[in-house]
Amino acid sequence: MVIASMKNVVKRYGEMMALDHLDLEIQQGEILGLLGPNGAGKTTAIRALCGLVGVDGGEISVFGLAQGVNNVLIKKDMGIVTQEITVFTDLSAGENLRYFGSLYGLRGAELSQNVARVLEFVGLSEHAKKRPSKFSGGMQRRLNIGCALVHRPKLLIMDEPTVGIDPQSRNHILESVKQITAEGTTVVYTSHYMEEVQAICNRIAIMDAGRVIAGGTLDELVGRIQYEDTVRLTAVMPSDALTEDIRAISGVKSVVVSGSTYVIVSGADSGNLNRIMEIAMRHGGVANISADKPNLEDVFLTLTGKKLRDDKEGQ
Amino acid sequence: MMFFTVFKHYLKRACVEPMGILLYVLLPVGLVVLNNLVYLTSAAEYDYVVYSTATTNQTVFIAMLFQLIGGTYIVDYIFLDFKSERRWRLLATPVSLNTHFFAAIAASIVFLMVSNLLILGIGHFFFYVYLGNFAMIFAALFFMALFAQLLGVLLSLTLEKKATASIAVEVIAFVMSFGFFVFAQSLPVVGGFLSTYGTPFSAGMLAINRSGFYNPDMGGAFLGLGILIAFTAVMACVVAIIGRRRPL
Ligand SMILES: Nc1ncnc2c1ncn2[C@@H]1O[C@H](COP(=O)(O)OP(=O)(O)O)[C@@H](O)[C@H]1O
Ligand SMILES: [Mg+2]
Repeated sequence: MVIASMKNVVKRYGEMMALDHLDLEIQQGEILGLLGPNGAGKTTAIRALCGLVGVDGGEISVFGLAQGVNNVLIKKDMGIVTQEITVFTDLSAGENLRYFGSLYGLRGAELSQNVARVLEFVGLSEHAKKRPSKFSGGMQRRLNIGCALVHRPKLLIMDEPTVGIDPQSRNHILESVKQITAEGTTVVYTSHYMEEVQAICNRIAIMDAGRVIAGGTLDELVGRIQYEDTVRLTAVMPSDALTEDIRAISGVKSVVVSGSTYVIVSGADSGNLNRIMEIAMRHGGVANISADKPNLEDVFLTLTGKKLRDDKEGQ
Repeated sequence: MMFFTVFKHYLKRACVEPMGILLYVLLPVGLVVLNNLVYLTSAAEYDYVVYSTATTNQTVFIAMLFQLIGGTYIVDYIFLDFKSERRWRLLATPVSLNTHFFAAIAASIVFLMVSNLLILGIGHFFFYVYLGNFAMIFAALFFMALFAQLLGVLLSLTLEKKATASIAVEVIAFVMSFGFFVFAQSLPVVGGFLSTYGTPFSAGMLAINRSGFYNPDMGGAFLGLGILIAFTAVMACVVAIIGRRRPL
């Protein structure tokens, strides 16, 4: 069942098309990954979906209702985790959660229970009385997520929720996202880290320059591109004869030898891994062999001719 | 209902912010205590048998000045909450940005009024300050605070940086308040007029002083209050016009 959709959505900033006839469908219960490089329009798409900015064209519907600016009926069942940390630094973690809960109309015992549940969920129960300014980056991120959960949204939108944090906090967050969906919330997860999207999302929409350029499951997306298998072989007894025999396999495009390591590139789905193994066994045995599967990075590269993110940017 | 929830939130933030408490509560209280102590130790005893004109003037002046500088409160909230990334988070809630905004103004006004009533109270109970008509003082403080917050809104809507807007509020507050003396002395005719009726600050002072003991004149007091309200109304219109053109 489709819980929210964007059809042909256009958003302009002056001459710039931040959203260029964007189409997106969100299925109930899924984790939809919105993957794209910085500036692709992910945040703008999310803001339009949540009704936080007006759009210049197209249709947006959420929970079967038409999205407009300040549609309270939609807002009360949606949660948004902003890309920046937007909690109140002058209030404690607990006070932050209480306030956001109360803005969604929660009161009294229900509010307290929900706050306690969220504190537990984001692993901050012990720090409820502390101010986020005393928190590590990871803890701040977790509180930032928690503030969107107190009112138990049906649809949770997360805009790059793991930017700039340590791997441990990141794993904690990724696990939490899975758990949130297990409890029945639909999640839209925005990221420019393909590893995250690959790890947790059921379906992926790849964005570039304001539009969705490809969508589907990981396998579907990978299956759409013409890729090459790269096999890395370490031979026990490297020899020129071995090199020649591998070169002779049909479909093999190149063989690069350095010491005992052979890097072999062959056409997609050539099934050459087995043949390479066989030949290497005949020539004295295999010390090690590995094959690279294409990933979302390759999909993106193939579709756009660009890399998903700058190499200089660390993770 | 939601207004009250948001109002409490802003009031709480004002109450837990150490710099704000220091600058807008402890500093004026300190100034009042210090100034009045200095005055009273040097004054002859008959100057303040029941009430003292000098301490009354000083104390009311300080209260009004800080009421005016308090326009920086809304500047802070506008920049921290509405002109930052936090804006998106607040927009995503079912509570409208207008509710957030007006509740923030209301909370700032209440916070500053409590702080300045405290100052006047200290003056009254310890330093022979005469408080004339309480309702008049209350009204003058309220409109002064409202004027100051509107000034803060205006400058926040038109200036890019939080620091610039805050400094602008402070400069305007100091010029209006100390100009009160400077004008009166250096430009007897024009200055005399300006320093009595010409600014919101002077109008507020007029309202309080005329309701007070050394010239009990409720007509003059209402004139002062009326002028202050007129300034506030004009300011509100300017803010509404600018706000429509460059909304938050
Ligand atoms: N308020 C704005 N004014 C002008 N341009 C904007 C504004 N917001 C976003 N943009 C532009 O729209 C494009 C998409 O931005 P954004 O949605 O933030 O991308 P992403 O979240 O994928 O990094 C960018 O080129 C950005 O510079
Ligand atoms: Mg973004």
